[in-house]
Amino acid sequence: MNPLDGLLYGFSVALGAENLLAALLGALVGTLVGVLPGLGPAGAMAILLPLTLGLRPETAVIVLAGIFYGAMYGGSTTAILLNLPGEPAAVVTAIDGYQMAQRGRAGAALAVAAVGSFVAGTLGVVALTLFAPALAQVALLLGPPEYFAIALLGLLALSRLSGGSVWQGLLVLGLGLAVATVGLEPVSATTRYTFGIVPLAQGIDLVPVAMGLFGLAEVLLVAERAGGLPRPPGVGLRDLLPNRAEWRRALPAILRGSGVGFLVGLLPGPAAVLSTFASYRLERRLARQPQEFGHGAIEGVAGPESANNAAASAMLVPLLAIGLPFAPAAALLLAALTLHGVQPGPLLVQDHPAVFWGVVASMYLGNLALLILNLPLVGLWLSALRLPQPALLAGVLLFMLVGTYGVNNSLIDLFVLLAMGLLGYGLRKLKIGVSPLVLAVVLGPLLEKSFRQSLYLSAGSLDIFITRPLSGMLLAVTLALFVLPPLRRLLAGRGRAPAAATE
Amino acid sequence: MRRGLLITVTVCGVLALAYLAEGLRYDRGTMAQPGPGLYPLLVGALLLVGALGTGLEALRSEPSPAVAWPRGAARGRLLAVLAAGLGYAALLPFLGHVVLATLLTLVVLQAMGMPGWLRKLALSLAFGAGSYLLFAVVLGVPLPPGSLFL
Repeated sequence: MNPLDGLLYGFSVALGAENLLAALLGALVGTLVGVLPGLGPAGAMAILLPLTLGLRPETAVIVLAGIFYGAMYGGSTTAILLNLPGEPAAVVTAIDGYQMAQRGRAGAALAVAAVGSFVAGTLGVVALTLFAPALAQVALLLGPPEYFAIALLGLLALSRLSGGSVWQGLLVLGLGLAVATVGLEPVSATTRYTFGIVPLAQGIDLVPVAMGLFGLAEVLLVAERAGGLPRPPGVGLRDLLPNRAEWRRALPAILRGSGVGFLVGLLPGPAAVLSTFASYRLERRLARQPQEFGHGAIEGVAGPESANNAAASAMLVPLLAIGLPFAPAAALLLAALTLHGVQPGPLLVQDHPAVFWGVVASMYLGNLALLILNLPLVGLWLSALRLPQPALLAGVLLFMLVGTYGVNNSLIDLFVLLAMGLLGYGLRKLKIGVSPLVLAVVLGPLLEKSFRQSLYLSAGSLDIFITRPLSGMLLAVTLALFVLPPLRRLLAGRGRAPAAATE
Repeated sequence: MRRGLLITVTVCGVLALAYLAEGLRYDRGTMAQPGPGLYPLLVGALLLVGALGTGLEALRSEPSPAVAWPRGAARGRLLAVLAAGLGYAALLPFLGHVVLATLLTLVVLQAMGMPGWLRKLALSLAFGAGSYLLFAVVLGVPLPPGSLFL
């Protein structure tokens, strides 16, 4: 099936009543999650994952993907109006967006953010439509050493880039990989680290881990703060029109942001957040008046907002094409697929075309729905900030507990959720990123399996990882991630020393 | 911050050693035919290296502002939410979902300072019954009714 035929088939799937409703619902829930500061898209996806158990696989992924890209739209609203980023990818938007709001141009900033999100989201899905099936063909040629190298690069890159120092990243990664070894091991089905507790034999599920680290940890932080959210200002419909000069400056930034976002989104790591910084830096470098940045430059809103939406689409490329998630949100989509007995990877397009093309097509529709609904409903979204916080907190906690129990009907999962919540709370307090832990739980079994299969293939020689071109190259990139930054610092230090001596 | 990090790495270091000790019990096989015990040794080593590196880094770092761990009322709220969750997990087989969900909501609303007992009670009952309807009736999750009521 070529991409055009596939897309047409995808629309026939996505336009079915159930899937259309799922895309709309996911996008709207995502917007709400994005608007409310705290619970990010990954936390919300983890909480809602058990609710998708009764749905068809494509419907489940459509609703969860909708939450992810909907959150990218919603995150900008409170960032612009209240200087309160709803999710991390909106932090950069708050810099100039809030300044624009202070100057009375909140409506223009919101409109540019929404249009930018739509354009980038749509361009991102076009690129996904073209790239993912092609990459899936290439992925059919990959063997265990390549899978090992890709998984290792993804994990180490995320641990290097997700906040905290190199050592802290490795510590969290080690914790996640250790959690992933609990239960039956993937090659000879030996039980490990179960200590005689029978339910642990099936391993530690991703849902309580992700829900605990992202969802429960946030609930505990909110319970500790217990402060009300600030009252948002009103924005009239008439204010939502940028003037001609603003459009002229914003449109090129939207296109550049889309390109930057998609490229960064393909890389392992916290792509949505990184793409906003990359886009902001690019816009400031290209600007005629760079001093305006930080004081309400519209390019500072248009570029990063477009970038994070394009990155959200790009993030699906490695997941759908080779079955490897490089971000926590992608890991949760993988969990949703495996819960429904669908294995993402090179054969997904062939074996489950309804899932692959249905999800892709639903993203076109979801992005359009978000543009049409979001701007007129901005007042409604902001009213979510007026919900009584105690009730919201109790509801989310209850939802997490019942949802976790519902996945496997396992009491052990509830204790894992609570332990992970406490761990996530502690790590957040110490400013250590938790994303590598979640991803390690997902990729750990694959890492071990491909490592051991490679050793079987090479009769125990580690050369197999270096002599095969792709795995060798990927391992070199992984090494460079850790060697180059200290080397650059060392060289920069040496460069400064003679200069200081000359002075 | 340094103290918090040092406590964390000490716990993780002990955990890594215990993990490695347990890992040594599994068959490591050979390089040509690796057994289930080989990979855990690599993971344990990574965990230990991460803990040692973080610990040394914390010891060598400049003093930074201490982590603001909760005190007083904030700690009370945090503990109440945790206790509610733990109570739910521990008592689910005995008291069942509806009773526990109602109690959990009541505890959290009270801890978070929601005014009005009638309002809190009504919300708790609504959450208890609503969550049962959504998960057990609509989604078919077999929530335990509680052995005390059988």
